[in-house]
Amino acid sequence: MRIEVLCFAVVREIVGAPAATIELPAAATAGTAAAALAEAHPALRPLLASVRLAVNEEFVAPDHALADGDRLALIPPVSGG
Amino acid sequence: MADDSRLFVSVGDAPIDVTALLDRVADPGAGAVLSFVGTVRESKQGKGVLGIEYEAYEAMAERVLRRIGDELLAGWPVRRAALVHRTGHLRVGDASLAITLSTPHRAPGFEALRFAVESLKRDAPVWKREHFEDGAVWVQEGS
Repeated sequence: MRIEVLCFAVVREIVGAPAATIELPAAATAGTAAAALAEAHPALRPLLASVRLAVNEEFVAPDHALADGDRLALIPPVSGG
Repeated sequence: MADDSRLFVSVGDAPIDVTALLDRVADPGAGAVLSFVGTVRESKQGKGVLGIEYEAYEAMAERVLRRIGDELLAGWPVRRAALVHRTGHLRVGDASLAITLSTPHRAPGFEALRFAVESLKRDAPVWKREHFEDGAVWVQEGS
């Protein structure tokens, strides 16, 4: 399946773009998708432990199953306000 | 489900008009109108801050602010609430965040306001990048 990964702040700087499209196997989860992106961008790997995951604008656990067309976002530690 | 007209949320690069947000939460049933405004501070650990850049996942940030607003309306006797976060480049003294709300009595109002500020800072997908003379740094949470 194909999903769009939205990247922000330090993640966006590492990936080099605000969004990336990745191909994943049918049984992919939010967590495996984040790991796949870190394979392509190794500088992401140490950040993964502190990145929260969101699918279609809702926070999800790493084991959340993805569907074709989902928008995954990698949410690094926030600092709003 | 909370009544939408009692809640206003916005994430965007327009300067924040706190007076307008106070007007938005005016209510004849309110004896207290409370506000919190987050502003850009001039220095960080002795280093002069030239400015701050706020980046947001705007669609999700509005959804999170709306969820916090719904919790305010459900958890405290809040008459109306407004939650706004500004994005883009801000200067020292600019308002980055404003929350206003109205309650019949002040004690629950203070509690609700604190809950709203802490929830927003914990959950809103917004990131702050501080610009110093020697470069810019993404702020880590808790700073």
